[in-house]
Amino acid sequence: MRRFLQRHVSQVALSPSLALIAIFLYGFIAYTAAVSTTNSKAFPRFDSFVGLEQYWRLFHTPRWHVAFTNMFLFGGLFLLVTISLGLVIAILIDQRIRAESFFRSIVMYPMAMSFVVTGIIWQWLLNPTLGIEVMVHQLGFTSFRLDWLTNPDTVIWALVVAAFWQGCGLVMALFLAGLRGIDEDIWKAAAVDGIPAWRVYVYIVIPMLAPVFLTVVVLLSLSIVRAFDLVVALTNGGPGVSSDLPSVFMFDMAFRRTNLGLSAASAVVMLGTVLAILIPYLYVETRERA
Amino acid sequence: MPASTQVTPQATRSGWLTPRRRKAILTRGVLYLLLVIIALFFAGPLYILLSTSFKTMPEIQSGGLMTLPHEPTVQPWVTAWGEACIGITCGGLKGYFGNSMVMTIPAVLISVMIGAINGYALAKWPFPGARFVFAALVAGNFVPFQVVLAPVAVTLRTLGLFGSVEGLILIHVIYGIPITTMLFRNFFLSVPNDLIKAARIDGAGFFWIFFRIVLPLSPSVIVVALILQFTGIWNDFLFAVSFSNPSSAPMTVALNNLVNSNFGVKEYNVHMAATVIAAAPTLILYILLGRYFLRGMTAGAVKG
Amino acid sequence: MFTKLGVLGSVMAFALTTTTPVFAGTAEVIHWWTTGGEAAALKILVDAYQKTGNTWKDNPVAGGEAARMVARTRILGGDPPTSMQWQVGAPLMALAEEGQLNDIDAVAQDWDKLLPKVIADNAKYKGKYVTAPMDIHGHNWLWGNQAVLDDVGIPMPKTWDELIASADKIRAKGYIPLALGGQSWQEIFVFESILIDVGGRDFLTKVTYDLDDTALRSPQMLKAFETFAKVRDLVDPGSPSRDWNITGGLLINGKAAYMIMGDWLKGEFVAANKAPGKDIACEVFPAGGKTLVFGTDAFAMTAVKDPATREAQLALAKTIMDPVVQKEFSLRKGSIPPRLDVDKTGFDPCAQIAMGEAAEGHLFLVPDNVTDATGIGALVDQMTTFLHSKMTPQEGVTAMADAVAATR
Repeated sequence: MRRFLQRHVSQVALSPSLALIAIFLYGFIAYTAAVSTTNSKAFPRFDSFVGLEQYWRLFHTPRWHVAFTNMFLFGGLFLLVTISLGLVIAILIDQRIRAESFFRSIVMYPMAMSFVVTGIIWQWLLNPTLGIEVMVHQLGFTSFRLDWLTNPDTVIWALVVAAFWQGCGLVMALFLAGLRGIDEDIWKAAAVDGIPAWRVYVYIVIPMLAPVFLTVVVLLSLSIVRAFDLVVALTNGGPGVSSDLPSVFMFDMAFRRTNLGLSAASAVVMLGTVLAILIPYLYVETRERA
Repeated sequence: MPASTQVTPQATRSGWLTPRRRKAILTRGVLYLLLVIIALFFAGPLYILLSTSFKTMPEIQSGGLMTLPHEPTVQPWVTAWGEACIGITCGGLKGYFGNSMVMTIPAVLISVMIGAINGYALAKWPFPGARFVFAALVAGNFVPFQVVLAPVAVTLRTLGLFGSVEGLILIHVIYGIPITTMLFRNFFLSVPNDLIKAARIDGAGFFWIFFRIVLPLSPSVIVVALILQFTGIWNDFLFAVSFSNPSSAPMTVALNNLVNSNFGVKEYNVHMAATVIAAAPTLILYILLGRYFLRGMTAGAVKG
Repeated sequence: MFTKLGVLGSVMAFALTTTTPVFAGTAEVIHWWTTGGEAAALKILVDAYQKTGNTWKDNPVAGGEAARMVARTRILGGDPPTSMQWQVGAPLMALAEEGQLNDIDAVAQDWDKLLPKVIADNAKYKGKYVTAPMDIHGHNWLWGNQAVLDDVGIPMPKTWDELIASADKIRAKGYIPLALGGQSWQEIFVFESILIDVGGRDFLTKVTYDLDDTALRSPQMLKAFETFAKVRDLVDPGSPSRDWNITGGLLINGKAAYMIMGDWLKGEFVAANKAPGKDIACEVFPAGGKTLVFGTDAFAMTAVKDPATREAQLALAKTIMDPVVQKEFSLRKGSIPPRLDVDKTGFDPCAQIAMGEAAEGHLFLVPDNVTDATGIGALVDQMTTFLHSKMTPQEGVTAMADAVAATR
C-alpha cells in the first residue's frame, strides 16, 4: 500500500480535485446537455423531452447569430489587442524602471473594480454627446467623431477597449511574472555576444514564455465566454442587439425569457465551439512538454 | 543639449555624450513617454471615478464630466460606507465587509494551495494520461456559470450547505481549481527538472520537494494566483447572490443592490465612492503583493 | 402638514385595528426595490407589516432578472423565501404549475370585487389567489416639457401623426423632438403605442398577445413600421444604449420636447422640483386609444409549510391589500393602487388620469406577463434591431414575423 502511494503519489494528490471536477464540471455539462433536449421553462423538467427542437429554434433566432458572430469578433480582437499590448507593457515595466510599483498598480487596478460602475464611466466617455467627443470638440477639432457606442457597426470596438482596460492588468501581471522567472544568465550571455535586446525578446524570451501564453489565452477566453457585466453595463446589448454576446443571450433566455431549454442549448453550442478551437491548441501546446 | 547632460554624473564628467550614451538616454526617454501614455489611458476612468465621487448630485447633473469638483464633499463616501440605504436597511457597505472576508480568505488560500499541488503533480511528476487530465481540467472550465446554478443549488441542498458560507467557499474552491492548477502547472514547467531529479535521487519525497525546492522558486506565480483568485472571489456576484442569504451576503451583493437598480434616481457620486470602497481590499492586496514580483531566484542560488 | 398628520393617523389607526395573530412569524421577502424612492415606499409596507406582530426580513436584489434568478435558485436549493416580488400572469402560472406556491384565499375572499378584472384573473391559479398585487405602473405615457411646448407654440399631440408633424417646429427651435433611451425595454413602449395608434387595442392584442402571424404581416403592421421608422429621425445621436434616467434629464432640463416612458419617470421630476401634470404634461398615448399598458408589482407566496411562516405569509398578503398601505405606498412610488376603491385625494394629476383609465377598464397587461416569453422576446429583439438599422419598413415586418414564427 505504502509503495503504491509512493509510486502514484501525483495521481493520489490529484484525485480529490479530479473527482470534484468530474461532478461539478463534467456532470453539470451533461446535465445542461440534458436540459437542452427538454422544453424546460422556469425550472428544469426532464418530463418534457423535445429532442433537438431547441437547437432548431436557436439557429432560427437572428439574435443568436449576432451574439455568436460577436463572440468571434469581440473575442478575436480582444485576444489580439490584450495579449500584444499586455506583453509590451510587461516588457516596458520590466526595464528596471523607476516607480515600477506605481505603473504596475495603475495598469492593474481596473480589474479590482466592479464593472457595473466603471462601465457607466466608459459609457459616459464614449457617449458622443457627453464624453471624449465633446472634449475634443472643445479643443477645436470639431470634425472629430467617436460614435462607437451608438453605431451598431463599431460598437464591438467600444467593448474591446473597455474589456482591454479591465483585463490588461492580469495579462501584464502574468507576463511580468513569466519574465521574472526567466534565468538572468540569458541576458548576460546576450549582452556578451552583443545581441540587441529586441532580438533576445523575439527569438529567446518570448518563445520561453509559451506556457504563459497558454495561461493567458485560456484566462482571456474564459473572460470572453463569461463576459456579462461588460456588455450589460456598457451597451446593454445595443444598439439594437448588435453588441450581444452568448453569455448575455444565455442569461436573458434563462432568467428574462424563462426558457431554460433554449438557454441550455445555447450553452452547449457555445461550449462545443470553444472546445473545438481550444482542444487542438491544448494538444499542440502540451505536446512537447508533458 | 544642456538638459540631457545633467542626467548622469558620467555624462557631466566626460563633458560630451558618447553616441552610445545618447542613444541610451533617448531610449530611456521614449520608454518613460510610453509608460506615461499608458498610465494616462488606464488612469483616465479613475480620475472621473474619483472626481465624481467628491461632487454633489446637482453638480454632476449640471456640470461637465472632466471637471474637478467645485465644492468637494466627502458626504458620498460617508454615505456609501455607513448610511446608504439598501432596501430598507440603511447601513451602507460596512456591514458586509466581514462577510466578504470570511468567505474570500479561506476560499483563496485553499484554492491556491490545491492548485499549486495539482500543478506541481502535473508538471513535475507526470504519469501516463497527465496531458489528458490537464486538457480536461482546462476544457471543462468553459461551462457558463449561469447554466450550472440549478444543479449547484440542488447539490448544495443535498450536502446541507445551501445558503451557508461553507457552501459558498466550497463552490469557489471547486471552480477555482482548474484555473489555479493551470497557472501553476504552466509555470512549474519552467522549473529545471535537474533540480527535482537530484532531490529524488537523494530520497526526497513529493511534498518535501514541493515545499523546499519548487515553492521557493515561484514567488511571482504565487502572487499572480493569489491576485487572480482574490479578485475573482471577492468580486464574484453570481454565486454570491445565488448561494448566500441576507445575513451572510458578501459586499458585491450590497454593492450591486446599491448601484445596479433599474429604476429610481441614480446617485452617481455614492456609486463611485462605493465602488472604490468595495475594491479597496483588492487594491491594497495588489500593492502589498506587488513587491513579490521578484525576479525568481535562479536555479544556481537554490542549489547553493 | 395636516395631510401628513392625517396619513400618520390613518397608518396608526390601521395598526391599532389589526388584531395580533396567534402565531407571530417571520416573512423573508425578496424584492428589487433598492433605490431611495422605492425604499421609501417599501418602508410603508414594512412598517405596517411589522405592526401585525410579524417580522419582515428584507432581502433586496437589484434588478428584476437577478432577483428572479435568486428566487428560483433558492427554491431549487430547498430554501424558498416566504414571499418574493414576481410578475403576475404567465410567469406566475409557471411557478404555480411546479407546485411552488401557496394559495392565500383565506385572506382574499373579497379581492375579486376590489381588483380590476385583468389583475384578479392573472393573480389566480386554478381560481385561487397565489399573489398579492402592490401597485400598478403605466407604460405608454407621453410626457411633454411644458416650457418647451409653449416656446414652440404647440399643444400636446394626440396621435403619432400629430407628434411627427410637430417635430420640424420643435427642431427649428433647437430642441430634440423625442428623448429616447435606445435600449429595447424603453423602445418597446414607443412601439406599443404605435401599435395602438395604428390598430387600437384589438391590434395590440393580436400582435403582442397572440403573436398572430396574419396580424404580424398585415398592412397595418407595415403602417406601424413606417411610423416607427420615422422615430429614427426624432431622436438625438446620443440615443442608442442611453439609460432611461439620463434620457429623462433631456426632457426635464428642457433639451427635448417629448419622452415616452413609464410613470416611474415622475420620480425624476420630483427630484428636479418639477410638478407632473404642470411643468411636465402627461398623457396616455395615443390619446383616446382606451389602452393603458401596465405592469404590476406583486408578491408571490411560496409553498412554505411551517405554520408560523404560513401565518406570516397570510398577514403579508393582507397588509399588501390594505387600502391605506396601498395609497401611501403608491404616493411614494409614483404608481397607482391596484385596489379601485382607494381614495384619490393627494395623487398628482397624472396618477388621477391613470386611476380613471383603470376604472374605465382600459388596463392592458404588459405582454411579457401574458405571451410566451420567448415569442414576445423575439418580437422585441427585431423591434430594436429595426430601429438601429437602415432596414425598410417592409423588411422590418418580414424579419419580425419570421423571427416570431421560429419560436413556435
